[in-house]
Amino acid sequence: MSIKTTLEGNIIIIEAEDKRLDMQSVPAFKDSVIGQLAPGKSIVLDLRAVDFIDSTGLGALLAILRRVKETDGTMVLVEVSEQTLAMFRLVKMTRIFDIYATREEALNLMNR
Amino acid sequence: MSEQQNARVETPYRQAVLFALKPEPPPLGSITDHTPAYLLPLAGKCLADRMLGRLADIGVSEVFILIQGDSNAGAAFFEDGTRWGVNIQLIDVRSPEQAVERLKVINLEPPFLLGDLYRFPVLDETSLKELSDAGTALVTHSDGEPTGWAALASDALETCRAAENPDKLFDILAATTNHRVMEANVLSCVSARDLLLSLDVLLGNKVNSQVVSGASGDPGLWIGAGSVIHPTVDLAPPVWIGENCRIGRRTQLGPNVTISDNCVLGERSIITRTCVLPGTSIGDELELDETVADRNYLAYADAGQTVAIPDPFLIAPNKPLAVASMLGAFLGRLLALLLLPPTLPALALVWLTGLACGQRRPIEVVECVRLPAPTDPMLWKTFGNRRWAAGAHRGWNALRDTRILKVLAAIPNIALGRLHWVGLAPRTVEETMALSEDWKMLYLGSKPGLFQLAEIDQRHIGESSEDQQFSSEAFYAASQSVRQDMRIVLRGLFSPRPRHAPADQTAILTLSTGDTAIDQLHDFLHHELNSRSVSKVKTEAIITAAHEAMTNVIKHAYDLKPGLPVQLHLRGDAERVELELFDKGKEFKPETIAKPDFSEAASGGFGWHLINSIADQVGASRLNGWNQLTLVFDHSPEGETQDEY
Repeated sequence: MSIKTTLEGNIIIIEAEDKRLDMQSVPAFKDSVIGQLAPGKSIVLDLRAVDFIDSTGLGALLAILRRVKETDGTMVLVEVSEQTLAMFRLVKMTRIFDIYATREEALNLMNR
Repeated sequence: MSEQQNARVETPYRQAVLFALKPEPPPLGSITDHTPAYLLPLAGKCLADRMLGRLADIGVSEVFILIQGDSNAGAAFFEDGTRWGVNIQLIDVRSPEQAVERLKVINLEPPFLLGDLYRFPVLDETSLKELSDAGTALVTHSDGEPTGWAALASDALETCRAAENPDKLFDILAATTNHRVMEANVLSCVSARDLLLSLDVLLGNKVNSQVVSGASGDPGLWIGAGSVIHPTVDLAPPVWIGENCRIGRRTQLGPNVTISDNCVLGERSIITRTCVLPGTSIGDELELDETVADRNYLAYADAGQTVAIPDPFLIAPNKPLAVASMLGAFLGRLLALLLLPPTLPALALVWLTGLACGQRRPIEVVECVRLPAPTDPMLWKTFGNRRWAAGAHRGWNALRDTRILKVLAAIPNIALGRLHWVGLAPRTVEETMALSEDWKMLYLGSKPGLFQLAEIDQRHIGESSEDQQFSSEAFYAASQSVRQDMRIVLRGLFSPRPRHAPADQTAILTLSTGDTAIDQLHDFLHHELNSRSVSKVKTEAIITAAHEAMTNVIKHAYDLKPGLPVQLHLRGDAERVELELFDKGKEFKPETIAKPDFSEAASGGFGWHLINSIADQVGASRLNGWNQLTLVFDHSPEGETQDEY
């Protein structure tokens, strides 16, 4: 899965570009995202293009979040589709991730 | 049917923000494990339903619900709000502090209402007029206690956004405004006592705006469709009975009793001032007073606690049949029963092989929790899960790990109905107790199986972390179906070998300073560089440079203090390796490092020199309190000597 990365100050915005985050795309996605991580930087993961996520995708997001937390960083998810949000709620992961409706909302709060 | 008109009132409020923050301890204890308290039925309609209906009546068109905890049930119930003619936005928050943080980014246009999904002051016309005249005002009980509701005008908005959490927010409001609107009737689901008081209000028709629906003959009696009540049952109004209930002979119900849908009450029981929640079966000759009964739990109003009732003849779930899953389970068992006779000789053969390999007991029996199980460990039952025991013989261990042998060992348990073909990994009581609360909840509601999605995902993507296992199990538990099970069996039988990570993958080591830090570093580098086919000479050089860098961090950045964080990123392949070392210690300023003294009098200080000598490129920077040291090795196996001073 390809990603697009932009930097806004200390915040790395990573946009997933493929429609599915599943067992086919997860290995490459995880490698790509983890390769962007650095202590001291916060992550905004934009999932607007992702309209399907499976268990391996959920596991990948959890693993990435753990990596980020190990360095006192923060990671938020934005532009999560209805299907993906429903999946998060179903498996009760809304308690683990911070989810914002838009990138601007997340950046607004993170830059305060 | 007894009806009262909902009073539509013109008010200036178009927006409402509702906090749905999980009270601690949880209201109604284990009863709310499966349904949030605000969705529990109060005489046919849950509190959330009544609240949203009333808000719509008074002109609110946009509702923001800040929900902490399990939002799945809430999301399914609220959807987008079209049911009430309002636009609902559900915002998941992890803590009360985050709920107030989110207020800062919600586009609010005062005046608006601030409220609590667990409590609802009914807001009659008089109260609403008082609120809108006051501008910013708190809604309180008759005794002045806050209800968690307020009306906010523009003067209060920024003040409230500055609060740390909702409690502080209401403290600020209490301190900054004198306006109080008192409400005598407040519906609440915060405790069993509150729930019963709320039902008293509703059944007593004390609130004009809240309708109690249901077919009613005599005043104070509501009986739902399909309910069968024995002619000898004594009903003392007010009593509310939902749909498809069965009330046994000579039972006395009331006053102030609600029996929700699909309940069964036995004979000669006496139920007073009690709420029986949907799908509950109450046994014979029981007396219940001032309680909330739900499946196998009782919440006592006076004691303020919830107890589990282990004896199903007293109180138990009255579950409707789930035909598809029952059929699936039946067919699975049938298949196992058919496979059992022809596989018995194979089982015996393997068993004898185990004995021949020195296994005293080739098959071990591990007591695992029988699923589904209630949340209370007191009520758990176990079953003997048979599997091939591990031993000292390598051949035996390799044999027992094959898929075919795992299937063979599981067939008897599946035939007995204790295990399923597909499910979650069987766990002992101790293993189940060790799971996190969320994980435990979903595990207890599922079924144990031979083929597991978690194992298949692990095999497929080569990821065996707890995070992956949790997400796979959560995914399976949430999306369980016969079709899903069949897919998992096929993948289980034909899934590919584990994937090997590509050479350009970033490997990350996170550790803390201490006695084992250097060992961990060496182990990590050996493993990663070997997997990337880096030559032995180059590997040793890289490890030397990294060792020196780590030593510098421990000694100089952290002054030898243990337990402090260090992270190492490694990427590259045999041709080029890039290392990044991060620490949070004192700022590293390479320009202040003294030149190495190579004379006989020197006692150390060669580390930085060695690093620069070995690595082809060295970079140092600092960001947000973290030092970052970057080392690149991309030329000869030994790296070129650099003259950096």
